[in-house]
Amino acid sequence: MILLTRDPARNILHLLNFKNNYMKKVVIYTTPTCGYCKLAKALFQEKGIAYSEKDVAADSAAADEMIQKSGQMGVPVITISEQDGSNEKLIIGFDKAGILAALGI
Amino acid sequence: MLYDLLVIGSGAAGQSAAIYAGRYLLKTILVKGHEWGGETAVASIIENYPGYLKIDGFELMQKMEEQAKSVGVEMKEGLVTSLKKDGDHFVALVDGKDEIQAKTVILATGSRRRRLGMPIEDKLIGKGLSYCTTCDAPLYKGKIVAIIGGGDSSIKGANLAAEYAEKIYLVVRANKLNGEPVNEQRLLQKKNVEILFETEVKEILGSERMEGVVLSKEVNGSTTLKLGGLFVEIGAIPNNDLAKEVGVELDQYGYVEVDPMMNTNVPGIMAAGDLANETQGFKQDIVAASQGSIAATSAYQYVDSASTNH
Repeated sequence: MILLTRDPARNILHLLNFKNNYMKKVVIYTTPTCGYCKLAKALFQEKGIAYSEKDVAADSAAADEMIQKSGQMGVPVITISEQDGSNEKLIIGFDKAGILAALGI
Repeated sequence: MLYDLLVIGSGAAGQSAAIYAGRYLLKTILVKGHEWGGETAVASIIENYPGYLKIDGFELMQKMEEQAKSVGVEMKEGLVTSLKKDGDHFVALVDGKDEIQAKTVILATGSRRRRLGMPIEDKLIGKGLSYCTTCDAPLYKGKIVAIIGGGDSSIKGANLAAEYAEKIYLVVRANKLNGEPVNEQRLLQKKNVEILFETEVKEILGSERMEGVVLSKEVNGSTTLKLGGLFVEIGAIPNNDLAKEVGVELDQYGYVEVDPMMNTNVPGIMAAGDLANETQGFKQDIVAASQGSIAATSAYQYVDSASTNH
């Protein structure tokens, strides 16, 4: 729960704490032609989950990062962690149940 | 609550059925299934759906769903796990728990991608082996890859992969391609694609990663072909579990037998799209959409005649 006060600076602090404590960091590795990636992004949008996207077709460093993390040459690969990157869970393919479980939904 | 119509599946057939059912003022619910939008949503760019020069399949399905919602169709997440007849109506379970009762059902559960059936496949998925060329081809820049299959999805996949891979072998069991001529014509213009007709994959090599294949005949003096990537596009098998459960008659390949109005042998149950055998394997969005509209018309006639007779 966010306890707002009359002090705007304190409120910002509260909101940041809320974000760090309750919002997961979500990264999705995609290609532009991947329909399953679009399904995963639509799920995030439907659930109001913020995510960042890395296009592995255009960004070879992101492709290397994805392969190193997952051992996978297929998209989508999704990582879900705390905001500081800890407790990272790796989801391979469009695994809806796995995504929702990792997000705690 | 008793619905007039339950549509099972959210691909082109299911959504089209829903649009028509809504306009027939049938009280309709559509259960989406595990993969929203069916094969169309993951088909990448579509260039043969009338009205669009070019549209992403995902966007096309979003538009169809929006249209179905606009005529009052209720959309439900989840997978129908059981379908039974109960007196004069049908009872479906969603994810094994939520019950839906409906006077009629349209089965639009489509099909899923076929695998080669080799035990090693499970281990190598994502490790050089892929069942979705349009998804993963961009990851194989500068590599030598093979695509198995001579149908349209294989040919479209090869056309995309040709933009990234150094060399593509298209491994085709038949002695000719079986795709849309416009896609075949594009393929034949690709300088880095070599088609191996009357050739089969006998074995996939590799234990931790896919390393190559053994073919039924020699290429460049050897039956072993070293590869950086292998894509399997060998067609589909019908998702017919619910059809079987409710007693719907299937053909020898597992597709649902339908009459020209998309009725099955079970009164009140229609089938449409890739699951139905009406067009002998001609699996296109326009066919699925057309069949969905016809199935909805049959559902309307069924509900209408049942209410007139009572």
